[in-house]
Order: sequence, then structure tokens, then C-alpha cells
Amino acid sequence: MKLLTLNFVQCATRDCAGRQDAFPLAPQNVQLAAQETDLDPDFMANILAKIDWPGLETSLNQLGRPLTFTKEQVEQDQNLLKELHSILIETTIQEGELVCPRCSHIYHVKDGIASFLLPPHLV
Amino acid sequence: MSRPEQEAPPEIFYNDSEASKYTGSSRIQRIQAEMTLRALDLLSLPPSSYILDIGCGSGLSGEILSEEGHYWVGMDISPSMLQIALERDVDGDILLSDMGQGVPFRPGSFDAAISISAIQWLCNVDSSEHDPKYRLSKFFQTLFSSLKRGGRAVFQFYPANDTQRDTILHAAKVAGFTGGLVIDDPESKKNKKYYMVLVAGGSPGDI
Ligand SMILES: [Zn+2]
Repeated sequence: MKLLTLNFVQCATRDCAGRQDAFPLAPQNVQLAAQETDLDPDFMANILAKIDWPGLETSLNQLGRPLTFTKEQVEQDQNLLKELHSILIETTIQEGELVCPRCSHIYHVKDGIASFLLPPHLV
Repeated sequence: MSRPEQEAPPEIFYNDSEASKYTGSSRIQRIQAEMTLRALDLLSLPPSSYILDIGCGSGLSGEILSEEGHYWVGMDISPSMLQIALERDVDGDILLSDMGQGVPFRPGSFDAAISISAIQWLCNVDSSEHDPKYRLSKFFQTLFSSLKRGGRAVFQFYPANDTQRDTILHAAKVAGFTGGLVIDDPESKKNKKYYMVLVAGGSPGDI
């Protein structure tokens, strides 16, 4: 799962669905990987408007890779846009767990695929 | 002709061998590509859009989205299908997820959603926990929220009958969507295709 996607998923359990404090899911015991992809400035501009920046800061702190720039700086600097591309699009969580900050439900990531299947009592 | 959704739940029906048979069939690849392009046509998006692919399977539709310059996140309930998507090295990001349990994304995430030959599975009753009405309503409510205001969703699907078609459309409208059905080749028994075109709030435009 790309770090980009981590900034959009939220806890899906019955009690948490739609609640702002059920975001972002906290990565735990994760293995990260890097995969090179082309930079698309139009997509980055599109996504910059959608990113939850405080959520991104939280996630990167949890991963021990704190952000060194602000959203405003990215908007003015092509090099930072490249760096953000490499963080969001080229960095993936291959293995590990994503923990809901509200109900502590754990979502597992295997082979880069996060499972959001819920047991019936949580639906 | 039997319908796969009457044989077994999707995660069971699309086991390893069915998933690879499905993905490897050039006829299915061609039809999926045509329907994806038609759905994109109905979405009329600018390039570099961020799209949710519901029931993405092995990524046949996603590949077309990538070729057309879009970025996508796919969800599917069949691990075998997703495994093939991994092997085919698709560009999109994929999640194991049951659409009847809701779309697990925060509000306003996507510019649009697309779904090719998947939503009729939602009407299945596979176990006592599967209430199709509840699953349909959960699905459409969470999808509505995950789209940006005015964002479109296009579903190509194979309704089993008129009742099922109306049930799905009704659930979408109750969740707040506007829009309706586009039927291609309505006179042809073999080529007739249903596309449900929905808009999340805003004006329904020219649908
Ligand atoms: Zn939760």
C-alpha cells in the first residue's frame, strides 16, 4: 500500500465509520519498500488539494521519517514536489499492521495489500 | 447460461483457477477494456484524476485507467484476483475489501469511481449475516461520502432482473446520488449493456 493511500483510508468498523478521529491508521511493525515511478505534476497538484496534511505529518512521525517541509513550501518548489512524490507514490508498506487510533482495530498488510475485511460483529 | 453470482460468493467463486482463467481470456480482456473505456466516456474526467475502482479484480479495468493517464485505488474481495493483479504489476494500489461492508475512505477522497461487472454481487445472500438491503445502503452511503462533491460514479453491471436493477438504483438514490441508467445496444440480447451513472451531490448535468 502506497503512503498516499494511507492518507485516505480510515477505520471501517461500525463504531468508527465516518468519524474524523478514526484517522490516520497508525502503521506498526511495518516493512517499507521503494518503487520508482514517473512524476506527474498534474496529479501531484490534484492530490495536494486532497491530502490531509496534519494526517500525513502524523503518519510520517509514526514511521520515524518526519516531514521536513510544509504544504506551502511544496506548492512553490519543484524539488520538494519531487520529494513528496517519492514519499507518497514511491514508498509502499509491504508488510505490517495499521491500527485504528480510536478503536484499536488492527488491519493487516501482506504482500503490499491491506485487508479491510471485517468480522461480522464489527460491520 | 448460468450466472457466476448464483454459484458461490465472489471470494469463493474467483479462486486461483477461476481468477487466472478469467484474467487470461482474451475475450474477457477485450470486453472489459471496451466497457472500461465506455465508463470513462460517461465519467468525462480531466487527465490525472484519482479514481476508486470497485471490484477491481485482477486489474483489467485499472490498466485501462492507467493507460488513459489516471491514478486509481482498487478494492476487491477475492484474494486470488488481487494476487494476479500483483503478478501483473498493475500501477494502482489494491485493497482486500468487501464493498458491502462499506468503502473505507475519508470524505472527498476521489474524483470519481468506476465499477465493471461487479455490483450485482452485492445482491447475493451468502449467509445469514448478509442482508442485501443493508449492504447496498452501507455501500452507497460510504461511496457517496468518499467522492468529492459533484464527483461521478459509473457502474457497468448485469442485473439479474428488473427488480434487482430497481433495488440497486433505489439504494443509490436514498444515499443521495442523482443520475440514472444508460443502456447501450438495448435491442441486442447479446450486447445489451447497463451503465448506472451517478453524481454525488451537485447538479446531475446532462445524464
Ligand atoms: Zn476504529
